[in-house]
Amino acid sequence: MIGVERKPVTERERVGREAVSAVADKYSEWEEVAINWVRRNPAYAVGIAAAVGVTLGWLLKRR
Amino acid sequence: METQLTREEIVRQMSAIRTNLDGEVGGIVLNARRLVDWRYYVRSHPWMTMLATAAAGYLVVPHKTEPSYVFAPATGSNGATHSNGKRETVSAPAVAAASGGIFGSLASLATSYAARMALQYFGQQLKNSFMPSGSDSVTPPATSPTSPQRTRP
Repeated sequence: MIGVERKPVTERERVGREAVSAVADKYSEWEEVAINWVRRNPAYAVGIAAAVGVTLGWLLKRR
Repeated sequence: METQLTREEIVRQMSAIRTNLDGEVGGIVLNARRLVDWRYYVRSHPWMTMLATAAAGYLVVPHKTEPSYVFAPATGSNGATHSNGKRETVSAPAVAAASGGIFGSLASLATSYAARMALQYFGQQLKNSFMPSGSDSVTPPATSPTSPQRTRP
């Protein structure tokens, strides 16, 4: 990229990026753990998802 | 000699095919069994399965139904006012329920008529298929002498 000067990263931007990266890392860890649990317990996972859906439907449609 | 070699070759090829066939059939059966198994889909697409299940649970819950009764207004001098002067109104769902009732009864009448006509048609077809056309004559079958005779009063 000739002729394009990149602005130096400020301290505030660096802290923000680190915070976003930390949150993304935590989410990735959690997602991996959750998917592994779902793969190990498919019946429980489907039951919980159905219960969540029915609860949402009950709250949004019936109340 | 060529024929003998060809025959041996054919036998060898058939044996090889039979040997491979066992493994292939086993693999096909395994794949079919895996495709039928719902756990396979949960394991392969966990998020999509969870979303689909939650959506199905959401769709299973029916909507809240409004009461379909209609208040009988306390008629005053003009026939449509309450004692406190407020006009009694009939809610739209009640009217919709009443019209649905009319259409429902019409639909049930039409359905029963169609079912009756279909039954009559199939009965006629069955009768035509089992009975030859000559036997369906106008003349009644001859009664045996031992059968009881109806006497006219």
